[in-house]
Amino acid sequence: MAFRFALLADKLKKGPHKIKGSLGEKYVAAYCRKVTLAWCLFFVLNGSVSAFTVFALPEAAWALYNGGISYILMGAFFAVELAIRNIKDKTTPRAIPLSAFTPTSRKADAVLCYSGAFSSGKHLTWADFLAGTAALRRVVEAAPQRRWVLYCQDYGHFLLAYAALLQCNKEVWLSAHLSAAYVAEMAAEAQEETALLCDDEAALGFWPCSFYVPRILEAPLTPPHSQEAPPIHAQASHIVIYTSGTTGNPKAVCHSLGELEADNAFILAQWGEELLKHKLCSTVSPHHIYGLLYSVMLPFTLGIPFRRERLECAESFAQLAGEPHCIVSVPALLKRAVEVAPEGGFGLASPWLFSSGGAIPLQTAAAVERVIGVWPIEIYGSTETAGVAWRQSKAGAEWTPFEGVQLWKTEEGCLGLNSPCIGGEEGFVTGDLVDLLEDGRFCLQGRADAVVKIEEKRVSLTEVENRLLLCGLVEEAAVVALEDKRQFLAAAVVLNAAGKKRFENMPKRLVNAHFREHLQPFLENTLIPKRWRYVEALPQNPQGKRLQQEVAALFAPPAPPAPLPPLPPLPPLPPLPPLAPLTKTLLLPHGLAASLREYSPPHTASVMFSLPESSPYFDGHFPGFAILPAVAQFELVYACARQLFSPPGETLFVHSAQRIKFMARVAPDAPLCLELRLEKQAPAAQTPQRLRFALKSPGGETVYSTGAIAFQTSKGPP
Amino acid sequence: MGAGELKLEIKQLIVSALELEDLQPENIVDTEPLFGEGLGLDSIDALELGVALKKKFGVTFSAENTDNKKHFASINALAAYIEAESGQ
Repeated sequence: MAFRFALLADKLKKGPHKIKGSLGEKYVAAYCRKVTLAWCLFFVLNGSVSAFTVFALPEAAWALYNGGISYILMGAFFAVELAIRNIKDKTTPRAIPLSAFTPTSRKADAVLCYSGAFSSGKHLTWADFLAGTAALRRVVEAAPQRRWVLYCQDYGHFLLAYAALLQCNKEVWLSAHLSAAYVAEMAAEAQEETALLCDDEAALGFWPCSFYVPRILEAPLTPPHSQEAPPIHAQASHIVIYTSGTTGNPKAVCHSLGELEADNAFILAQWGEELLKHKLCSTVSPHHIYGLLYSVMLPFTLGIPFRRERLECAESFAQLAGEPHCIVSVPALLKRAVEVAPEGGFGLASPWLFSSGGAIPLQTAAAVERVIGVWPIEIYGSTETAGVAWRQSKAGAEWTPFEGVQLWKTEEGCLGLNSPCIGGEEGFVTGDLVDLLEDGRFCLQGRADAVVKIEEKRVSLTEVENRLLLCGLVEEAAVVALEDKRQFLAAAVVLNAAGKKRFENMPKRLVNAHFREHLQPFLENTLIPKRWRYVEALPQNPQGKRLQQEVAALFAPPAPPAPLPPLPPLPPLPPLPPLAPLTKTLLLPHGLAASLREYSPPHTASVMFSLPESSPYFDGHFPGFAILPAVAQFELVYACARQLFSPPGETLFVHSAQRIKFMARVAPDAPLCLELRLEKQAPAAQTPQRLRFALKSPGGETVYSTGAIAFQTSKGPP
Repeated sequence: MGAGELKLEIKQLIVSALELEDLQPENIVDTEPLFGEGLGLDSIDALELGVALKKKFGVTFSAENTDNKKHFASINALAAYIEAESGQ
């Protein structure tokens, strides 16, 4: 007995068949309780009978019972329990990851995935899976390449091809984008000959060694070939996810299959029981880590049927009415679903919802619950880390880390972590600012790159945004750092219904004052937004990522009031290098030069130059983040204008700087084109002459700034 | 110069020198604090405003002067200070 339970105890914690945290944990626990109770009853009875034989029966009967019958009964009891256990074991739901399945893991007619709706009967069964992977293996094995780009839109095709590649010991490369150029780039990154396995006919032409999955599956293999399933090694199988990365430069992230399965194992331990009651459908491509983990590997491991086609749009949630579905989605799509949902929601039957890729604002999450019927479970993770933590924001904004994830806070305040899903000792440092709580959970405080300095004071733009959201009148807020004469914050706010009602007919300055007062207890005066815009929606790209530049453009100052108030003329500027003859080169301060691109005297010109990082113009404004301040831009404009537009025998000097509108940051060494246009006026007029300027990239794609300066002339050289 | 006129000029100066948006000079209340709550100006604005006031009214706010805070408390306080200074 002791031996048997010792075995069980060992099984509890480790090994491929570990029970703790497994899908069947509850079933096993319930069964063990019953068995223990049965044994206890048996021993009580046995003990009673034994005692009876001692005191009431002859010695021969005592010997017969205690020396023979008792042991036979025990043996019989054990045999019966073993038989029941085997029957029970077959009906216990089991998690079978790719690295552990055998041809007999599931029944031949078990449904793996389906087309359209489950009820349509277009099913792909376990037998189809075995036959299909066998057919794919034949093709894959025959090709010499070790690295394979896998691209299948159909989750069913994807699963079969993925399993076949892993069975053949191939390295699987995934990319959500697939174009001829991209495949070539990926192949170059892979640095060896690469093959492509896809279900997109258009993609076949991208690569010399391409295979079309649907055609291979037209001829599935039959038993006995389909009854083979070469084992997949969890640690030795590698999957490389080629992502665009946050910086925009593509990046290859490698995971072992074991790392990915560790992520699945946590989900199964946490929610497996619940998920078993659902069919699964996804809005996320399997070529992202989130889609791969949740849309393909998770349902395979659980044995729950998944839909082969991706749900392309929010409207298609309506098709899921009827059966309980687990939906795998992203915030942008859920937000859209809220907008397009029919009155009363989509009417889904006990749905389940995962979301990842970004945080869902609380109000959106509540709206999602209203239209889909369940509060989304958000997963925090990245391509490098796989899943890290989860939350259901109904219960609070805190994230609960997955089992086995270690967290720490870096000196910069960022979240660092290590987990079974990350290979290596050093772990991974995210770009997310974190607040670690004592109970092991954590709060995210926005992106580290959202931290700016306003007049030497550090502030997280996300924090200011969150403070604004907390006032209850704001649906969304975007805070940007701007600079004219000084650095300041500016806030673009989308009011919610309560906010709109509250501020109806109120002058804007009072609305501003309301928000300023709301922020006052939390922020220094300097960090309270100086400019405010109330908009219907924030500029976003289709993925729901905010367009910071376009938010900043909302704050372009209005045109200055004309005419100018008369000002005393400014003292002339310090002497500049002697007036250069009008050649193709203009002299700029700090020993720099500009070349003349176009010049139509006496009023318009454009000049080309660039400013090296070593230029004093970039000194000290933002350490580590060079920007070209307004005063420097005025100086450059003046230097060019003086050389180009000074009338014969006279010199232009600055009367007043009128305005400057920043649209983009001027980076060191960027090629720049400065366009100048002097407004025409009567020759004798003594009023200041206005010069308009625009600083652009040479092709005009980027406009860095525009502005105006008023000039006067004085006789003689300066 | 009448007191009312002076106050209006100060207000105009504040709005133009600090490029305040959404605000007309007459929206500024004479007794309202300029910094913190009220107008919500900050220390950088104070520097800027100090320069503008010096240019326009010739009054100086030295770094050592602990009364600066008092002078900048409100439009009323500023007007009183400017009047006192220019009266000397």
